[in-house]
Amino acid sequence: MSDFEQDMTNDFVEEANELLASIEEDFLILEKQKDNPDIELINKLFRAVHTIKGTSGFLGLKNIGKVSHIMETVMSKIRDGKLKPESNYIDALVSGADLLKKMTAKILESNDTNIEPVYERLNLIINEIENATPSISNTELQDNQSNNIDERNSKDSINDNPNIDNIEIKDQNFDNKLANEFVLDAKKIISAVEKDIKTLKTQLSNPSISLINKVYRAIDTFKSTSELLNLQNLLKTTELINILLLQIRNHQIIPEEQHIEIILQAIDKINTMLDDISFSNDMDLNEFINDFTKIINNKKAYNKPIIQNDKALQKKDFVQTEDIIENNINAVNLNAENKDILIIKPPEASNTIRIHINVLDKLMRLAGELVLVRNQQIINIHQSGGINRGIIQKLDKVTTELQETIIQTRLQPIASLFGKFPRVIRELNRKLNKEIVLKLSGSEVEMDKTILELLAGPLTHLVRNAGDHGIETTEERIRFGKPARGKIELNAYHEGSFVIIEVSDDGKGINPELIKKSALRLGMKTETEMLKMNDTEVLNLVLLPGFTTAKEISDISGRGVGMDVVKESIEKVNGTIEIQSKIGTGTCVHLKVPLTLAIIQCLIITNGGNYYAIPQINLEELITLYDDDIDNHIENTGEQEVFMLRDTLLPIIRLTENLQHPKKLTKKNKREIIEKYNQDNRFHDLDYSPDNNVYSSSNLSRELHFAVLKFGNHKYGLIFDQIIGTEEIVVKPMHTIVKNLKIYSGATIMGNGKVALILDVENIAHHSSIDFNASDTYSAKNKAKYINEEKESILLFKAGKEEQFALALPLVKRVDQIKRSEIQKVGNEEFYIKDNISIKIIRLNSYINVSVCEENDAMFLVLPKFTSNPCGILVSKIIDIKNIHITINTTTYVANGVMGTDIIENKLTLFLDLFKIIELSDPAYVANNEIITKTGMPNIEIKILLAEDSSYMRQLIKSYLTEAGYVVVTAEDGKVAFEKLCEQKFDLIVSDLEMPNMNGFEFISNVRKGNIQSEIPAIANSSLNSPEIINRALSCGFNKYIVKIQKEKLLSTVSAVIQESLNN
Amino acid sequence: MAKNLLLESNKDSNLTKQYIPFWIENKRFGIHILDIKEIYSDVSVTPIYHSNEDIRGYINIRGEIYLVADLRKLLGLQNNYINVEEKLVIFKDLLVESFGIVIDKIADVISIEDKNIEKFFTNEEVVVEENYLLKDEYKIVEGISKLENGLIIILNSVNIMQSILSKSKANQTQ
Repeated sequence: MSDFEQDMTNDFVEEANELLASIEEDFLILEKQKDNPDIELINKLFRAVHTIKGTSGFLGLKNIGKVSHIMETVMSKIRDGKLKPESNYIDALVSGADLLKKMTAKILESNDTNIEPVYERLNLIINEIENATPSISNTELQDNQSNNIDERNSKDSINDNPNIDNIEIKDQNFDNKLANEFVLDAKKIISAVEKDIKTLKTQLSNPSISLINKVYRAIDTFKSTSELLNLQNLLKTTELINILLLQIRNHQIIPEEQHIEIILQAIDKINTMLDDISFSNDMDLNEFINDFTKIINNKKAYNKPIIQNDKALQKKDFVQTEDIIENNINAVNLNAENKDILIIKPPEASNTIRIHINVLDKLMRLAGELVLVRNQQIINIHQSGGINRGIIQKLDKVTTELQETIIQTRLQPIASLFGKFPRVIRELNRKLNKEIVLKLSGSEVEMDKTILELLAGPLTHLVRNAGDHGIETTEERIRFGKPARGKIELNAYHEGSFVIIEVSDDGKGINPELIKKSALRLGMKTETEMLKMNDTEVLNLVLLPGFTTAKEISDISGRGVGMDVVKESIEKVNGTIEIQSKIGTGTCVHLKVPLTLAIIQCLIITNGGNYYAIPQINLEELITLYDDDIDNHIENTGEQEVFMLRDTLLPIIRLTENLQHPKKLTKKNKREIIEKYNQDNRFHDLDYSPDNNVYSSSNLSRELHFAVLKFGNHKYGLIFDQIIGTEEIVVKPMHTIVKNLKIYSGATIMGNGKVALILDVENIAHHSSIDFNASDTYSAKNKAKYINEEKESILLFKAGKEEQFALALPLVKRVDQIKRSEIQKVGNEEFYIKDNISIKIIRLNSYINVSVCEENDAMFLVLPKFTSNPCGILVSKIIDIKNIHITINTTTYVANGVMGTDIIENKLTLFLDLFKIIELSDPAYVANNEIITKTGMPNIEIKILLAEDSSYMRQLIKSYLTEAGYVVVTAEDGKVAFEKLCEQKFDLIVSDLEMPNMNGFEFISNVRKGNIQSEIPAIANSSLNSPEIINRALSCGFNKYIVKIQKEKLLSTVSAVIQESLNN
Repeated sequence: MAKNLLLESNKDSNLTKQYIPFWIENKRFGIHILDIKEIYSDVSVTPIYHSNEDIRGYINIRGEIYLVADLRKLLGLQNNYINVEEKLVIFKDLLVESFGIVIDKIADVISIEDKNIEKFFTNEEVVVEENYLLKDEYKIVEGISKLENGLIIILNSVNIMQSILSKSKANQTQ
């Protein structure tokens, strides 16, 4: 094919596609009109099919011509009222339209396509009518079937007019309105043609082929319409013009003045006819026609058809003239840009223009640039102020409008998408034997063309789902008291810079229970996870890959590959999808899609002085931690930092570290990072004053920002320096040289003129080697406990001038503030009266070698829990309550009453053994409460297994038990305890309840169930104190339950239990 | 069209081409003027972490984002001082999209006749590993010319682009 043929064919395909798109819809509307078909609609359809027929003939697309011709015939029957637009006829026509679509899609194969079945079907319809109404002649039938272009263009055919339907158009049908429109359009066309012909006159030696083609097309369209309106004379005249033009074009005639003259004369005649259209047929043109014909025949007798279906002949024709054509091609190529702008003019669409998508894309880009320059200028002007503001405001306004208008150019009404659904519903109705009515609203809503194309698949799927799974059968609906016909509604509307599309049905809705069952069955979620979900979340489970409730797969749906693909497609265009449903009432699927692709909403942050953008769609939450929370809430597992966000464990990434390691982080890197940020966190809020070589508490509050980011099903937190704000940005792809850097998904210029890199959320996680599986499978609470294990809450205080003391907070009942004057002395003792209770005052320096308590007017009493006689430790100053790691050093300072020491805030801190001090302070107390040791069994080694996750408690309790003479083996959680039980023989278990990995309940249950030391006596030792917990502990297998920390109770219980077991 | 003319008359050895001379590290280089899109004064660049060391980052010029590379690193020269006169030479999109290189100082356009440019050959005995000037595979250096006040090293723009591209691809080990 030559370039021209190619162009023409492309034009044809575009035009045909446009026409065919609306044809189907129109046919279906016609079907609904049954007895009262809209004549305008019929004419519209007729014209559409006719146009396709016409142009296909010119291009030698035989099959397309045949099918469109027979469709046209059927249409004309309908137009005449000889045929009602009943379903089976419309079906045949629709299948004809389908076939045409198929052939235009593969235009080069169209002549080989098998059109027999469709053709026959339509033919049968015609025959039916023929036999019923014999008024239409048989010759017409024969003529209709031979659509040979040869004959059309041959001299003989002019007079025979085989392709003109001899259907009489009754006067009533000569629609005046139609005629007026035709005349107006025709005059326009003809005057343009006249101009072109005059131009052609100046090019006689080397006529422009494209110009000839242009005129030909115009005349042809004009001709078709005159044929439709049965304006015979106009028809003949235009036919003659076109034949002559073809001859000139194909170099069968050397163009001369006389040819141009006769054409111009013909145009004159046409104009006269147009002026008085109803009498045009009465004009006597015979002489003129004869003259014209003579001229045509003058140079050459052309038996050879101009275009044949025989492709070989085609090639030969054009090969000879190829050189000439080449030159013409070059001439045309000089106006290469204009190739993108083609003018195609069916009479009713003269105010549209076709533009190649590339041109629009460029316009979009330039508009984007202009927006950026405007943004810069705005900032600029704000700084300089004054006179320029007026101008800048105008610039702003114009730019915004320009951008909006350009975005509009790419917008197409969603009607083009909605258009095919009537057909889909029709099919569904047939296949599923249901009655479904489709309601469309918001068809005029416009969206970007690319997004529309991407939405086609998902929407179809949703509609089919609604029909298949949603709407019940007619009987069921009647039974439920619903209207017999189900309704599927497609609704589109604007919301901000998004378009919302709702697909809703009034069917049976989605049953959350069924979803849960299927999800369990398919292993997608566990029971516990489901318990936490609300109904909406359950419904959205259907969006997971592989999900289906269908027990069988139909060819309509059920394969479980639909909804997640829908979700993916929607998310690909930066949109969101949500499902809402009510059982028995119906379902509604909400799609939210942005108006354009290249502009996205982002969160702008800074890190290390540079700007970065995080797409809003990946952003879930923003969190700021202050002061100590920073140290306390960000934990680490040794290799990965984590943060406990409500119930989930969030892996933490530090953007700075991620950026500074060009290669993917190794485990070693991650350990180093953790060390770097977590060491000496005690010193974090301290300012170092080099003069005094002292650290002192800083008064500035610290802040740590991080964003909770998500991709797919995974979440993590990203720590960065500063939040700037949200901005709508234009995405620019990365430069080729840096395209391979995965952590960036693009770049953009922000309003302040700086370049910001857009972060790829998924790849940043990948780069930091986050193992999501580890965090997902851990039970969140257990993990948290594990991490909190090493931290204790301690009370820091001072009594004397020098030492700093600490007490484990769980041991403290409360702290009272007292006045020195209120202390009452009785002999050697001091007391404080409160609420009629005398509290014995303990001065630490009396029992331990520490400095004397400072005497202030206001002092404090630290009251311990679980003492039978009320007492309190005299304290001069309460420093703080801290929740930190402690490791008690038992070698630095050894004394009775001091458990050990640790360094807290750079000060040596003494950890008090509270019970020891109380003992020391009250010998009578000791006597009264016999500290029961291993009485009665001095020679037997009693081995106790102590399971306790808090190291402080572990040490404390171990010290009590060891002091009482027992041998203690410790375990930091139930799992370790169980292992140890399997390895060594014990006489008693003392176990905490809340432990990581395996809690106390599980531990004792396992022990009892197993066969290793399953009868061993066990004491539960927990800070919890509710009847339910106690019952649970006992029912799990504990023999006794003690509340922490009661030293004497613990020891007495231990002793009692041991005694009992020994006696057995 | 101008380009076409020049290509054709390459056969004629008396042809004179115009070059932009610039300094990096006190060495004078020249680039064919037609390979250059523009020269830009501001060198404030947004760094791109993870990129090669010869990539400086991104810069915004009139609403367009340009990549900026460091020719110094490519040529294996040391960076010893910060130069206030630094400028950006932006290449046309000859091989990849337009990007720029940072240079120390720029001078006026000069014309050099083709015949005065001596091609650069490597001496087999001299093996200098890291000096890209001498590496044949990059062929960044087209030749050397003698001017009144010194030598000028003529660089090949397309090969500069090619070598930066090759290096970035080579580092794609993620």
